[in-house]
Amino acid sequence: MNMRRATIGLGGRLRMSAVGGVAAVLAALTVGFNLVLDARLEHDANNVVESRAAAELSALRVAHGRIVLPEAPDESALDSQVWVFEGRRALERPRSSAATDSAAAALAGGPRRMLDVRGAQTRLYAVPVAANGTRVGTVVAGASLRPYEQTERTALIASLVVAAAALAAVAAAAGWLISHALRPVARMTAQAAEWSERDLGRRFDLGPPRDEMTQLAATLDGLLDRLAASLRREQRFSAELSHELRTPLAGVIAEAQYALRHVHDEHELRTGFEQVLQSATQMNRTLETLLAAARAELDDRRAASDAVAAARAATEACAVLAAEHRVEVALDVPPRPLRVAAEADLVERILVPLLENACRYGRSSARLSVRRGDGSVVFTVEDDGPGVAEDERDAIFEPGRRGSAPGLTAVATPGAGLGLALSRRLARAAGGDVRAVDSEDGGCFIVRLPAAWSEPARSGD
Amino acid sequence: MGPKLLIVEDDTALRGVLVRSLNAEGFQAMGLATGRELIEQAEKAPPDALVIDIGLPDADGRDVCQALRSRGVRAPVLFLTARDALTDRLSGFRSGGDDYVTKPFDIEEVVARLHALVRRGGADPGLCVSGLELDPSQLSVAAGGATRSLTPTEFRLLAALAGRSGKAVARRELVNTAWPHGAIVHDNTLDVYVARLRRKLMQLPDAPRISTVHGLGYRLG
Repeated sequence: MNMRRATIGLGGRLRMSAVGGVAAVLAALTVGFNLVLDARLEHDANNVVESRAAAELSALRVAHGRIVLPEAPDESALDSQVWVFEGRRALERPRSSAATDSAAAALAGGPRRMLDVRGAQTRLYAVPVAANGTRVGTVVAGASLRPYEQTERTALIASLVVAAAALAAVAAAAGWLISHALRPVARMTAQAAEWSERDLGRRFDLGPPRDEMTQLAATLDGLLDRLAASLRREQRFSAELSHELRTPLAGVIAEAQYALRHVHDEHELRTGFEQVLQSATQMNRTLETLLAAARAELDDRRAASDAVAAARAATEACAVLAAEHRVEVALDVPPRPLRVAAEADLVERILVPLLENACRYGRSSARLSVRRGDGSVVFTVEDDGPGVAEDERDAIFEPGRRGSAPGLTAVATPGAGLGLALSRRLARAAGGDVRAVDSEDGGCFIVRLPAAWSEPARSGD
Repeated sequence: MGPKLLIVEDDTALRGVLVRSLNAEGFQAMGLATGRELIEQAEKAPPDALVIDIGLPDADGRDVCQALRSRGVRAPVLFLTARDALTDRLSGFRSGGDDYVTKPFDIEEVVARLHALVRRGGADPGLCVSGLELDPSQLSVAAGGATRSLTPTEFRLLAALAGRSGKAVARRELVNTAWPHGAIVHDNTLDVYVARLRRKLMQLPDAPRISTVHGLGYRLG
């Protein structure tokens, strides 16, 4: 659920940054547009008053130091706001507001200048009238600023409306696009979470990664694979543990119940206790072996030991079983120690199930040989029994599998802990492997464990 | 004399105490270590009940049970096992078992269950000898002096038919017996397996033939 919240947060953040960026651009555009328009209109208004003043100036004549107005002021002159002052006296005065009129009067006699009359929204432009270098009077032209301000206001409102609409459209589009783009992510997250809880066999299976989505699917698939594998290992471990402990435990319970109900003499009681002890020892050995396997799987540091000594110890551990089955076990080892990158105890635990298997199925003889391989130590366990059929060579390493080859099974090897399954598990934990191989004479298993050549034993051969 | 029991359990200590306990409870128990010994012994002197451990060194206890049924042994079978998953228990019953006890068990419960099994009597009264000798430790079938090896599925299928020789066995029942619980088995998969079995039986002199019972399943003999 946390992941889901984070997904929505990412969508929100993306949307916010998209909308923010567009808003900044739109604001800059709107401000810029209005500033340009403002300057343009200012320029236009100035042009109007300047051209009016110029027209009036060109229509005037100055005779004998006095201004002579044109004979018949044209019709438009009534509309256009032009004042003509001679000194401070108005020769011509248009109809206009009192404020404009007094402002125009104030400009009379002054320098060439522009003046905005605030209250009347009018722009005045005063131009001195001179003749032969002598100031005679002043022409003041006026123009209403109202249409320009109207245009400015309309443009400002329109540009704000357009910007707001564009921003809303961008926000909506970004929201849709982002949620659309992130929807598969949210869906895959929810699915992966559900599968990881209930159904570890399901996968997205979107094929090889082509884009972000298929990449994510492939990554999640890989994650689910590893999760399923570790869960399978755990399940197998607990299945092995319970399976291996249940038989000796049943023996202990049955022995105790038998003693309580039926045993009355001390000798028989002693026999019962011996049986209980034997079963308890077997359980202890199983537990130790399984814990060693778990430890070896976790521990990356590899201790080194002598493969020859471990092989000898494994052969001795199987002596009783070999005698029971009347199988002669031969040991074929090099004269010098051979360093292997695993604890002696672990090597022995790997070899014992294979030797016990050889004792159980061999007719009369078995052989354990140790030799140096390419970067590894190779142990070979052979017997003269029926051997392993080719299609069963992997199945026999699976614990508790129904339908294994006749005469060979990975489970229920009394006293051998977990048998072949455990042997392979331990070997793989130590960085090696156990395989059943083709042999004309009978069963043949090859164990390969990494060598520890850097040890001083190297100089020996 | 108490009821005769054959106990097959590969763990020496557990086998020993089971035999002692059951003898003390009034049974005549005999302990055996392998499936093959059990089949030999069961044919020599038919017991009143059998106790079979599923994880045997030479065969799966369930295959041993099916083989016994196909050889006409009708005594009730109590399975002992360290596996207690539902699928394991179901497959135990489907292979012809009558009861199921998981390790570790209370010996009193085993005694009570064995008494009940002996009282109720053996398996399906329709059981009759098929003329085939099924060997669970070799996964093979023999008749008229010749032997053919079988795959585990073929073995279970043939054993299910041979266990009720002369009677029609429903397709569903055959699938349940021969394939693991929950396996998806198509109709023609079963037909393919039966066809393979027919070919193998043809190679054995005097072996009964598998005939199709339309709308129901198959029949041996």
